[in-house]
Order: sequence, then structure tokens, then C-alpha cells
Amino acid sequence: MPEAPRPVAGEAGTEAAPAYRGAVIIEWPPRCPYAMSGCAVEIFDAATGKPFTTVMATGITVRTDADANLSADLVMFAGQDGEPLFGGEPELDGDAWKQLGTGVFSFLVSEMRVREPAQRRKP
Amino acid sequence: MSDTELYRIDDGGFSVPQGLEVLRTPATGASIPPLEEPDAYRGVIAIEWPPPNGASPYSSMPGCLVSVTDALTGKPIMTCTKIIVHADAGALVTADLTMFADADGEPLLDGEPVIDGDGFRTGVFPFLVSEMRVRHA
Repeated sequence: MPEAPRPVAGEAGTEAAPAYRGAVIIEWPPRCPYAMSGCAVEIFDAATGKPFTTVMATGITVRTDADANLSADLVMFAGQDGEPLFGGEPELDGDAWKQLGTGVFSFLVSEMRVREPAQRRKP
Repeated sequence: MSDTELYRIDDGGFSVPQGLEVLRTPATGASIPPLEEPDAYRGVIAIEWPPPNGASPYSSMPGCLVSVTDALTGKPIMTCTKIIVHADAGALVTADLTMFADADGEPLLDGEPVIDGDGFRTGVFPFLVSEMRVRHA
């Protein structure tokens, strides 16, 4: 049986997949009267269940396309090698804390959660 | 900027009664960022996400299962084709909805879409997000 031709990235109908850095769970705050605050959103590693502590300080962008999977672009602290920093202390650029390296990294979203109203965020 | 100057907050989206002046006194060493023009939000929405697949931590969710509802009326918004949610730590959670637009370029909540060139006329409209829900499996 002849082997089916394999799609080549860049051809019509195919695209090179984004370099996802893993899968995340996003936990949203409970219902708000008008608008919810972005600082109440938490991100967890879907594989380990551990929270991402290096992403909350900056920003989250969730992309929902009707013909694609949910993904999230997270602005995270980055190490000196430019890779996302999942724990530990952020690298300093010289002696300046103000010049912490950050980067935007794409993750698949495997679950959305909504925090119960009585549940309080852990510090 | 000095501690003695008066600053009106009447161009940043707040409604200040005429004749009223609001003082902003920066603390020593603090800097107040310049006021930005607020986005023209088109309403408040609730977003409903699909339940988790559960098969694997890496099993992702298809975007076509996400639904959007007007938070004030409770009616579903069926004319939305793409959602980008912004959750910045220092701001409110907002969503840019790519929606069908009417002849005036305003978001089309019901009725017939307008043909524009080869497809339907669409636009990107910012909304505030008041609630996230997860559909039960």
C-alpha cells in the first residue's frame, strides 16, 4: 500500500504548530457584578497541579478560535536562556531587579475552573 | 508633575461633576502614569467554557465549544467567531470579540449578517467580563 503524502508546513491547509510550553489550568474568580479583576486569576500546571507563581505579575491572554484549541499566551519571567521560569528565583540582569527578563510563552489550556465564592486565594 | 499642581480626572473615563476638581497628590518618589483614553466597551459578558476532557492533562479544549452570553440580558451572543480574553494583573478582565458587524460597523447581536466582499462584515469589539462559567459534563 503506497504511503500517503505527509503534509508539509506552509502548504495550503497546514501550518506549523506553535511551540507550546505545556498545558495549563486557568482558575477564574467567582462572578462579579460588572467586571472581574485580572489579579484574581490563577494559573496551574496541568501535569503537576502546581501553581505558576511566575506569571501572575504580568498578564494572560486566552485565545479562543472556533476552529482551534484553546491556548493561552502567558507573560512570564524568563531565565537567562530565554526559557520560561517555572519556579525558583527570577534571574537578575546585573544588579537591577527592574530589568527582569520576561517573555511571552504559549500554553495549551486543558481546563478552566471557577473559584467558589467562599474560597480565598492562598497567599 | 509636582505635589502642588491640581489635576483634573475628567478625561480618563470618570464622570466628574462640573466645577469639581479632584486632587491627585503623588507620594514622595511615586510616579503617576499618564491617563489613557478608556476603551469603548460594548457591554458586559459571561463566558462559558467546556468541561475538562479528563483523559490527559494535555488534552486541550476546542474553541468551538465556548459560548458567550450577555451578562445583563442573559441572552446568548451567537454572532461571535473568535474570543481573546485579556487578564492583566493590574486591570480588569476584558474580552475582544470578533463578531459580525452591521451596516454601520456596530456589533450585530441578531438579524442577518452584512455581506462585505467575499464574506460577512466583522469587527473586533471589546467587552468587560463579569463571569466565567464551566459547563457541566
